[in-house]
Formats: sequence, C-alpha cells, structure tokens
Amino acid sequence: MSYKILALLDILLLVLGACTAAPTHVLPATEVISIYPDYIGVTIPQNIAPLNFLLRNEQVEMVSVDVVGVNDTMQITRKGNKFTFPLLAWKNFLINHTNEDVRVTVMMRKAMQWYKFDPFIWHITSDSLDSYLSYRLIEPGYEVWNEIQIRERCVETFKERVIADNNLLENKCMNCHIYGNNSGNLSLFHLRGEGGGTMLNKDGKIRKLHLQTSEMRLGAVYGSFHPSGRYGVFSTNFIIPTLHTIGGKRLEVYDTESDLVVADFNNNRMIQSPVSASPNVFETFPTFSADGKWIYYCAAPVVNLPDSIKKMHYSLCRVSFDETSASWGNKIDTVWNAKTNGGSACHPKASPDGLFLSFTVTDYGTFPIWHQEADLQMINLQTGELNKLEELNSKRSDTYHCWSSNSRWIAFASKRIDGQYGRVYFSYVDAQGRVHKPFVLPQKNPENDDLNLKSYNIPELATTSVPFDAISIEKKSQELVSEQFK
Amino acid sequence: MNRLLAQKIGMNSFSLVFGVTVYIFFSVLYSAHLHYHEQFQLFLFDSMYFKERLAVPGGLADYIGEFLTQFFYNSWLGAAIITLLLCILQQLVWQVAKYFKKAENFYPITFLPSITVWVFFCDENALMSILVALIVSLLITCFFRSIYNYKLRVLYGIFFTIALYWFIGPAFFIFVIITSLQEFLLGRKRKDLSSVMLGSGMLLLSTLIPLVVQRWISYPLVNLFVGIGYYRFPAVMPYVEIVVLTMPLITLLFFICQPLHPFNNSRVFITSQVVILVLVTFSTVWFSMNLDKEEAMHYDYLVRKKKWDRIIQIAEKKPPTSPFNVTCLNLALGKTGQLGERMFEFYQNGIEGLLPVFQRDFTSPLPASEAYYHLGMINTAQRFTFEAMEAIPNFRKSTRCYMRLTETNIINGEYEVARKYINALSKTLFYRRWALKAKEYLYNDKKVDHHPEWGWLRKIRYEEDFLFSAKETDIMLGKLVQHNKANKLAFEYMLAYVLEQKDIEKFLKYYPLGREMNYQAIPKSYQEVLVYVWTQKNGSLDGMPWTISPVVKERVREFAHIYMNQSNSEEILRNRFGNSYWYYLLFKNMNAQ
Repeated sequence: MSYKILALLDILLLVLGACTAAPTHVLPATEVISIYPDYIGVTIPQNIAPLNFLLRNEQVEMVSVDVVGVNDTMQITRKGNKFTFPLLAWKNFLINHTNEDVRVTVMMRKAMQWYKFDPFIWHITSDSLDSYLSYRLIEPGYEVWNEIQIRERCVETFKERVIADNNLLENKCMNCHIYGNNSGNLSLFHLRGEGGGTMLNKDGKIRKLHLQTSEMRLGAVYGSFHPSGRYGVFSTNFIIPTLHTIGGKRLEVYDTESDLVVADFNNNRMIQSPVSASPNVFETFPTFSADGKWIYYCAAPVVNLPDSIKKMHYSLCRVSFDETSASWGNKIDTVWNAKTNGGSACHPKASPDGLFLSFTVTDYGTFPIWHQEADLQMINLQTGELNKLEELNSKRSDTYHCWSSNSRWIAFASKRIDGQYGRVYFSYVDAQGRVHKPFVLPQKNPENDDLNLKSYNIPELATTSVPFDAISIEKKSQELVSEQFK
Repeated sequence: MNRLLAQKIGMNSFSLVFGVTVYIFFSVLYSAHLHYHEQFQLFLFDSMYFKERLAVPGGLADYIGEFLTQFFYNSWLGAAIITLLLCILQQLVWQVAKYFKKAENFYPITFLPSITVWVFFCDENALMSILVALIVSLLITCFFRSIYNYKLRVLYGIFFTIALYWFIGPAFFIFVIITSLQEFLLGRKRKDLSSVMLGSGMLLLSTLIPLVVQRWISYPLVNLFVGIGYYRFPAVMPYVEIVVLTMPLITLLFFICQPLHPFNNSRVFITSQVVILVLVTFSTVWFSMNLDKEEAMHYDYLVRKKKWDRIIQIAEKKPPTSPFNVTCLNLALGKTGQLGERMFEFYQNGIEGLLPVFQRDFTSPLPASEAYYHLGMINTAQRFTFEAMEAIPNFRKSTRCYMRLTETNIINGEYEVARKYINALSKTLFYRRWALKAKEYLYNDKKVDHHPEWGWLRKIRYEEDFLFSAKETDIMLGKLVQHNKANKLAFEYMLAYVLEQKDIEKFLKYYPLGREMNYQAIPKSYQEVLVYVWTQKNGSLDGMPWTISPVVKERVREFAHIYMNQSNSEEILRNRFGNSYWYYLLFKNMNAQ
C-alpha cells in the first residue's frame, strides 16, 4: 500500500518536475562540477537507492539532470542545489538499463542562465548489492558514549530502522552487529555492562550468552560466524585507549592482552586454542574462511606498551579448524607478513566465494579507524597475489569492511570526507577481481552527511532483514538470563 | 465600579510584584544559571533540526523551549523571558479557574503553578520546555470551553488529546483532566450521558497513547508517561517536577472546593493568602536555590568569556575553594601572568584545582579543557570538550563545545571537520556571525597563523607525536615548554603542578628553564620555595644564588620562628602565612584534597 502511495507521489513529482522550467538555451559550464557525494564515473548495482546529490557550485538556483540510456532518458529538474531522484522512476530506469553504461549530464541554473557540465558515466551492473546494511551510529568520541544505536538500512530505498538502542538498555555500551552468511537470521552483538551479554539472533530466536568461562580472563570481543552457524570465533582483548598529542591524530587503542577462542553455540562451550594462547603473542580479529576450514586472524609479538606502540605490527595468520571435532589445528601459517610487507594487518574478511581475503593495513597498531593511513588490501587466495586496492582507498582511514553475499561488493567505513566522521562506501569487485571507484551510501536528503555528526561503524551487509527491533531487544535483554558457557 | 477597579488594580499589582521579583532573581541572583542552560544546547534554524525535535513526544515544547533558551545568551533577556512566561502561566491558570468558579478572593492562589515552576527552575537541569508545555496545555484548555457544539467538542477533545501528547508531552494530561472534569460537571448539570462519555473517552485515550507510541519510539515506557524533555536527565523525574505538573490541577481544586468558605470574602483571608504565599515562595526558593553552583557557573562563564581580571576580582572578595572554581581562578592567574606570583595567596586544592583529571560528566571537563586549550595542548582540550558534549544527558549538542571544537580543528588544520561545526553554528542566532568569521579561516593557513589566538596556539602546540599521559602531566607540560620557550603559561603550570604535588625536587629540576622566560623578578611562590630549600641546608640566608626580596626573607624568618617555637603553630601560621607556599607545603593534607 505504502509503495503504491510512494509511486503515485513519484509520478506527481515527475509531472511537477517536468513542469518546472526545463533547461533552455544551455551554455557549456566554465567551472568544474562540484557534487557531493562524488558519484562521477561509478559502477552501481541495479538495486541501489537513488543517488541523490548536492551541487556545491556557488549560487545555484536550479539543477537539472539528464540520465541517458540506450532506450530512454530520465530528465528531472529541481529547485535549489539539492538534487533528488523520484524513487520509482529511478528503480525502473535502473532495471531497464542493467549492464549498460548510462550518460549523466548535470545542468545548473545561475542568474537565470542554464549551464551544462561535461557528462559522466554510470555503469549499472546486474550484480546486486545485498539489500540490507546494518551499522552502529555513534559520535566518534574518545571514551564517553551517550547515544548509541544499531540501525538497519535497506539500501534499495531509504528505509532505516533502529534495531538496538542503548537508550532502552540502561545506556549500556553496545558493540557492533555482525552477520553470519550475510543473513538476517544469523547475527549477534555484544551488550556490555551489568546484565549485558552477547545477543545472538539465530533463526528467529534471540539468546543472551555469557561468552566467557571461569578459565578465561577476558570476555569475547571481535568475532565472526562459522558458515554452519554453530560456531563463532572471537578474540578476547584487554583494550586500552590513549590520546595522541599531535594535530590530526586522535586516538590510539591497543591491547595489553589478547587471545582467540571458538564458541560452540549449540553446546554452550568455549574451545580455546593452545596454539594461539602464547603470552608472547597478541592475537586478534579472527574470522572463518568461506568454507569454515580455516581461521584467519592477526598476530603480533608482544612489545613494551605504550612506549613501543609504533613497533606493534600484526601479521595475518591462519590456523585450521575442524568443524566435526570442534578442534583447532596445530600449525600456524603466515598469510601476510608484517615485517616483509611493512605495516600492521587488521580485520581480515574472506569473500563468500572463497577467492579473496581482504584486510586493513595501517602503519602500526590494531585500531585502524583512527589511523588516517589505514587502507584496505586484498589477497587472491588462489594465486597469493596481493592487491593494494588503489582505486578504492583514500588518504584517510578506509577500514571495517565486509563482503556482499555474491562476493561482488565490498562495503566499508571510510573517513575520507573529513577524517573524523565515518561513512559507508560500496565498491564493485568485478569478475577479474578488480575493484571499482567506491560511492557513498545514498541518502534521501543528500545534506545528511553534512549535518549528521555521527559515524557509521562496522557496516555489515545482509540479504534479509533481522527479525528483531529495538523494543524486542529491550524486552529480551530484561527477560533473558545470560546462558553460561563451559 | 470603584470596587471592581480596585480589585483589578490589586490583581495587577500582585502580578507586577511577582514579575519584578522573578526578574530580579534570575537577572541578578541566578544569571549564571541562564548562561549555563544556553551553552548546553544548539538551537538551529534548520528543518532537519525541527523534524528531529518533533520526532519524539513533547518535541514541540522542547523546540520552543530551546528556541527561547538561546536568548539566555543575554541573561537579562533570559530573565525577562522567564518572567513573562511565568506571568502568562499565572494568567492562564486564572482564566481556567474562573470557568469553574469566579472567585477573585482566590486570585493569589493562581500564582502557585508559576511559583512551583520558579522553584523547579532553581535546579540547573530543569528545562524551559516544561513551562512551554504548561502554557500550551492551559491555552488549549481555555479554547475548549468556548466550544458549545458537542460534536465539535468531541473532535477538539480527541484531536488535542493526541496532538498535545505528541507536541508537549505529559503536560497534556492537564488539558485532558480539566476538560474531562468540565464534561463531567456539564453532564451532571444537564443530566447528559454524552458529556460523561466524552470525558471518560479522553481519559482512556490519554492512557493508551503512550502505550501505542512505544511501538515507534526508542524510549522506555516510563519516560513516555512522565516525559522526556522537561529535565536534562531524561531518566530522572525529580519530585518538584511532579509538583509542577500537578499544581495547576491542585490550584483548580481550591476554586472548585472553595475551602474556608465562610471566611473567604474577608480581607483577612486574602491578606493571609498573600502572606502565606510570600512565605512559601521565599522559603521554597531559598531552599531550592544553590548559590554554590551559581558561583561555579559564574566562574565557568567568565572563563568561557576570557574575563580573567573579573575572575581574580571575584576571588579576591571571596576565595574559591572547590576544585572547579580554583581551576578557573588558576587559569585566570596564569593568563594574566600572576600564577607564579599569587597562586598560593588563594586556597589551593592540589592538582585537581589546576588540571583536573577527566571525569565522565558534562560540566567538570570544561574548565580543564579551557586550561589545556590555552596551554597549547590542543588535542587534550579537544578531547575534554568533545567528551563533555557527549556526556550531555539529553543528547543535546553544545554551542560552546561546537565553538571550541571549531577552534581546535582550525588550529590543527582539520578544516573539513571545522567546516561541519561552522555549518551548524551558522544556523544559530547568536553564533552565526562568529561562524561566518571563522569560515574565512578555513583552508587558509596563513590567515590562521596571523590570528592572535589561533596563530599563537598553532605555534605552541605539540609538533612531536607521542601518547598523552595524564599521570605525567608535568612532563607533558615540559615538552610544551621545550617546544616553545615563549610559552610562559606552560612553564608556570608545570611549576605549579609540581608545587601542588609538593615535589620540590622536580621544581628545582624545572625551575632553571625559567631563565629563558624573561622574568623581571622571580615570582613570589618560587622565591618561597627557593628560600625554603636554602634554609633546609643552610643556617643563614646569606649567599643565596637567587634574588630574593627582603619581604620574603623577613617572612621566612618569622615563619621559621613560629614553626619552631609555638606549640599551636599551625593556627598562627594559617592566619599569618596561609597565603604562602610554606604553609601549603607543611600543613596542607594532600590526602584530604
């Protein structure tokens, strides 16, 4: 019903738009186009929401856009410098021009005169993006948190809903929300503080887990699901935040202790690894391979902290895991060596097709979000070839990524706009493993990224929506007693 | 006729006296509270901001309340706004009360709701939205009684029960209860069941609304019943707030029930009411006001406005004792080049009164952030400011913090971030001009370098990257001094820091750095330390390698004499040498600080 109303509104807007003075006597623009977000020359999925934008050239009175495909043209004119596409017209246009290049011409009216910028291309690919994206929305603070929400956004429209809200959870800190198998029916997040626990959503049922045993000094932090959904692998970290003194650098976060552990959700059991339990090595950011037979993680020899923080370099390692016997392997392979490659690896993530392993590289340490030099890199797991993803990275922090279920899209958090407020970007990975120029998550109001002073943390893609909302999480967190693990 | 005129004059006189008293209270006694309110919000002339406010129950009252609070930028204007609204509230209560029973003799009682709001406003976390909500609720109630058509009343009643809940929050129940009561009375009078049904329907609807709203709003149910925006801590509901919300109804009860009926036409009755009201008002306001907080807020405001001499003047009249106030005073002394000379003339409470450690709240980090900012520790100042703003309990942003964050980001060359804050500030009424001026500095390093404050701070800030350690603040300050020898403030803070810690060894280690600071004379506190050190190893004051003033020499002799020979030396020394470092060193209990 609401979709029909939306469609009617779209048609109405289109008619109105058409009635709005269409550009006439258009002259070539003498200035360079300045649009936010930068959607010039990007590859977009056929199911993405309209790429609304702001034309930031001075004194713009009206904006008109021609999107020309093989079969038809979409022309819309808007007053002011804020340009929005009607949702239904946009969707139809994308579906009709899948796997095509379309030419986009932006025109502006200034002092009653229309000017036309050089056109640019959008490539519309049939490789869809997973429909749902979850992220934690939080002020990029230091230690204090106040308003934290985990939200789920439909990337095909602008529909966004709150799926967990600390305002309903006695202001407890919430960690980010992660999916298993890119499915809304398998996900978890940690709820910290008294009465907290790990909220596990599996097949429509919410459980509250205490992912720590009496033998474990620390609880579970960073984690990932096994493809079977039965296991989760986690690091246990003692995390210390500290402050840089020089301008442009903000926060340094490091571990003074860290290990790995596998949680068996079916038997409420924690399976510790003797291989990764060395006190001389920090292990963190574990993730399962696509087939679940390997655990990739980051490891660094212990150094004197915080004095030698800049000598803290994590390599990318892997250890086997046997699903049937629920046991760790006993041989550690180094996949990416920090010493030979230079830098420090964080957040490995395997593509669901098993072909690639992408991760973040910083100069040192283990907290890339505040490292401006943080960039994503990718290893081809079949050839071992390393791709530095230059088309994707920026001069500022690019990290916290995830893969779409079809392994054709990488979603990641980037602070490229200002160095402080993270936004979600999507980059297409083609059949040859090449990444394309990324584009930011479209917003209904393109001014949102300017006015919204919150960061989008840990974007995670899923094909389906999660079966809970903030209210049900509030109820479950109160009702449920944490299940203990042995 | 004359009696009516006299009655009207009498009523207006009440209002005038009340208004003048309220105005004097807020503009003279409680002005810093108004500035305090103003700094913890960021009212934007922006549709997104408006929509954000309207997205929660009570949002319109919050929006109007915040709109009005922005005028607290000028305390006299803020006091005038509060006075005006309290008078409007009283008049509305009178208008509503008259409907039930026109009893001029109970007129003084109609001041009760305004008085309770006044008492509530003595709490620094009570927000203007509650007053706005009360006024709107009573205003809508007044209109209701002029509708005679039943169907229209039904429509009006249902519509405003829902709309008022959404726009003004729980104060809507004043409208619901009064109009329901009206309907019940009407029903009884006319023996009309439909009026009773309307009244009951509105009451039922009012209890159902929060339950329904909970499906869409991320707030605990209790908040949806008792309100979100009336108090800065949404999860807290002080008992005074309950009194404020119920007082209009209690006042109406007086009119409906008419207690002491046989006597209420007498002058004595009215006079008694006035006397009781005055006594109640003064006693409750007296017990509710907090002049210690007002003093702290005043110090903080003066620091924010960089009125250093004024701070010192106030401290000279009444020396501050709380770490918060002492932090402000020490910064003022430092900024006027008097820290080394005079700091021990005032009460000192250790490093907590100099550079306090970070506390997770929204007020205490602000003076500390000011000190860090002026010292050149830009990142630390930024952190304290950012965290203070994050800790504002009702999730509001802060004009003051936005300004400081703009500055720290401009100084650090983080222009894109500064631009975001400037964009927001340029949508405000009182900070727009400042924001547009600051905008001229974006992406223009040369212009920033020539700014009298930002240029200086850019010169003195750290250029070497290391991790900040609050446990080694003296070393952090030392690095600032080493980086720029012209940073006299950092030098004086470094010495003050170790003196506050009674670490004479470190003082002697750092003191020689002052040779390059172009001091005309050794500041008094430093002289006192040096003399003390000398006397520990030498029998006479002759041969000291420093230029010590004869006054200090004389005083140290006297101090030593009393200290050595008097059994109750502490008391004597406190009176005579309480303003010296020697007294601080020997008698101030560090643990008690």
